[in-house]
Amino acid sequence: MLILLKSLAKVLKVLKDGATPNQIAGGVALGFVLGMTPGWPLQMLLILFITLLLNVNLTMAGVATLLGATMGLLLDPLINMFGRILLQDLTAFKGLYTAMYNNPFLMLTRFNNTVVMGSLVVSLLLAAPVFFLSRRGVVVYRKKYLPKMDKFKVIQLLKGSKLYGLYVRLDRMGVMK
Amino acid sequence: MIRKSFLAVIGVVTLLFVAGVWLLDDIVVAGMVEKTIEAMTDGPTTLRGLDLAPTDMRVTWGSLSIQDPDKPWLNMVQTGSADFDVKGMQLFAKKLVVNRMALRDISLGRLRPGQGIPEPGKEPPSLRPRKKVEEDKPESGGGFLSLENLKGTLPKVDLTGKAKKEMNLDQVLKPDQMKSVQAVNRTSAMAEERSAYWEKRLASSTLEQDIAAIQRDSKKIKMGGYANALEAAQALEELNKLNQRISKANAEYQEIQQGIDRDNKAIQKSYAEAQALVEQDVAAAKSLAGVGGLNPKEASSMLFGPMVIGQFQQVMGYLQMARKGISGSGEPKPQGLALRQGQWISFPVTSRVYPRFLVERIDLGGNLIDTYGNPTMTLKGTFTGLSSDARLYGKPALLNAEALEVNGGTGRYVVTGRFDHLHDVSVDTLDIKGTGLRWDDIQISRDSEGTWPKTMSTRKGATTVHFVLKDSEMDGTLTMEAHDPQFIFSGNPRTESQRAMQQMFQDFGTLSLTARLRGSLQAPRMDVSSNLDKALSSQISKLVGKQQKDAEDRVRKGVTGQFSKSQDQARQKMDQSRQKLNGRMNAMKQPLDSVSGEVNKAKAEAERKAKKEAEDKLKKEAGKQLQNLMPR
Repeated sequence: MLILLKSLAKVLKVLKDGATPNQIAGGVALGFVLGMTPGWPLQMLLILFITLLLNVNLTMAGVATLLGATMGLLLDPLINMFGRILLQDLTAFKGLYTAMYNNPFLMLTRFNNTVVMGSLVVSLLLAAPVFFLSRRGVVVYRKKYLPKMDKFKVIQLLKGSKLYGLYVRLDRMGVMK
Repeated sequence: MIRKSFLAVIGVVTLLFVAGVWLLDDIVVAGMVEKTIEAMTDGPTTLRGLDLAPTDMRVTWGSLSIQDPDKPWLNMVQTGSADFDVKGMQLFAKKLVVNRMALRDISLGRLRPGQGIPEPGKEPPSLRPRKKVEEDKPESGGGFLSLENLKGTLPKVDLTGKAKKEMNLDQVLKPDQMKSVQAVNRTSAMAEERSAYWEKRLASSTLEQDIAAIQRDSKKIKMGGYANALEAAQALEELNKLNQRISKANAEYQEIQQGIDRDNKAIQKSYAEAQALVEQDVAAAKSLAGVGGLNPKEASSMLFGPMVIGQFQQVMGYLQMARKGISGSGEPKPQGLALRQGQWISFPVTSRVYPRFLVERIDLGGNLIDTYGNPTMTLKGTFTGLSSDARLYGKPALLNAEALEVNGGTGRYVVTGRFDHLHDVSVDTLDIKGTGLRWDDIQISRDSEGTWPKTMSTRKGATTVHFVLKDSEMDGTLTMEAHDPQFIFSGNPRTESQRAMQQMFQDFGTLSLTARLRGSLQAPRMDVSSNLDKALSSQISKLVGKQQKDAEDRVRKGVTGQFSKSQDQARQKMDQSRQKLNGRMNAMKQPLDSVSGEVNKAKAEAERKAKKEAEDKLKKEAGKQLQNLMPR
């Protein structure tokens, strides 16, 4: 529970002033791509490398990975169908697929799996909208909702709880760091 | 925009990775090779001194040993150094592909270091097989088990005659288990059943009543002395009607009689067949009583059978090991149906697809090493197409090797093998030809009384093995030739029979032996013959002749006695019911024949009378007509 609380506090802190909107949006977009694709095919290691290399917010990337994974699970039948269309019906790519299929190294991308292919393409297509929407969302949140945050009943309840008190005390003692 | 600290971390990680590969690649590749071989052979595998050069993917090792899963104190295969290159790109697909391998010094069945050979059945607990061999599965152990069972079926001869003297016929002759008695009982039951059937048939038929009625009605008809044609014509009409009834009754009678005759013939035939089974019962009783007379053909089976089975077991062991490694096509990848599993789409294969494990060519060299680690023969040859999926590889595995005896010996072995697993029915063939061989102390029997030779040695031996294993059907032939064989007995002869037997073996010039093993892995059949057969069986016959004959006579008398007893009882019963049935049939036949005769006689007379009268009348009428025509 404490971990959850700590994560929530961290997210709120990031949204408050912990990172620039671009850093947050970049983390969300890359985390979303990471979460959408099941397993760890080769290309995901590349995305992870980019995520760690670029100065994006890693907390938001982690949160977005969880959201992406949940979304991938919910949309699995559609993604599966989309992947099958990409692999079987796009005859123009057949030559490329065949070349990749015959290369043991590129087979590590597991591109010929319908869900891997479907989720990779869907997540990459959605990455740009997710980036811009997130950036806009952060800006709007900070401008409109942040000053009123303390007035929200949920936040008041949360701050009034014994658990939050314990968290604050532990945080001051440096235990939560 | 770029996290500089991460770049530093990446740099450190990369350095560590390179260092790790440099230091640990040998362990990783060794583990991969060990795991692959273990999966193929079931034997715990140890690879020593492996060195991988990552730049050109060249691998060398110092030694490889594969422990025998059934005899953990032995290494099933042990090799010396090897040198080969691995296809690096295929490692990404978790495939171990080797183009060409040079392999030196091979030993099959070598004692593991620090282990003595344990007493049979007293294997050290610490050396128990790591993986239990599934003995029930025919493809894994069925062949060995069945061959082991074959030993129990080999003929045995008791030269002491003790068993025959103590023979208890009552225990041996159990009438309900004798085939001939069973056949007599079956025939008797059949006779009873058929007799009851015909009795029932007669009871439900009106034939007897019909015949009585015919007899009765025949008395109402005038059977001759007809006064005129009219009377004859009237009688003829009635006689014809009666004759029709007689014909009908006769037909039914004939049908029943023919049926009874048919059944009687079948019963007689069945009795004759039962008689023929007496010989089988005599043979079975002789076997039960241990009075088996030794057929000349069985002499070699008795003496050399265990040794031959051992040879076949060795050949089959390596064939089965090869079969285990060179399997058919792999299982198709299951299509995932669960969430996030997706489906795997296949595309045309344009580049070469390799099986999980493949060594395209092994160049064999160095020496063949014996159980104790001493070089015995120089080895030269190739083994091509050793793969975990022969269908995918597309070629059968082939073995061609030649071994020459070291230290000035003349021994030479030529081995060729073909392991074809390209189709549903796999066919493995192994041919071994050995010439100029020196055999020391080949174990023949465990006899401790000095009757049978314990071991055989020769300075000039030759052998051939041709073994085909087609799916689970085998056909193997083994020939052995030993010039001037030396047979060693456990001690000096103590009895006359032992002296005679030992003398016979000492005088023997050249031993030629042929063995054939056929049938399924589960139920193999073995025939062994040699030029020793006749001499051996006649020697045995001389030694046990009288006892043998007496015991045989007793058994034969007992069996025929039991058979005759049951046959007499059955015949008595059958004769009674046959007599009863015949009596009933005869009781019908007599009146039927009698009435039929009378009717036929009367019919002839009536017809004659009617005909004569008609002729006279016709003549009279014709005369009248003629007179009218004449001019007056």
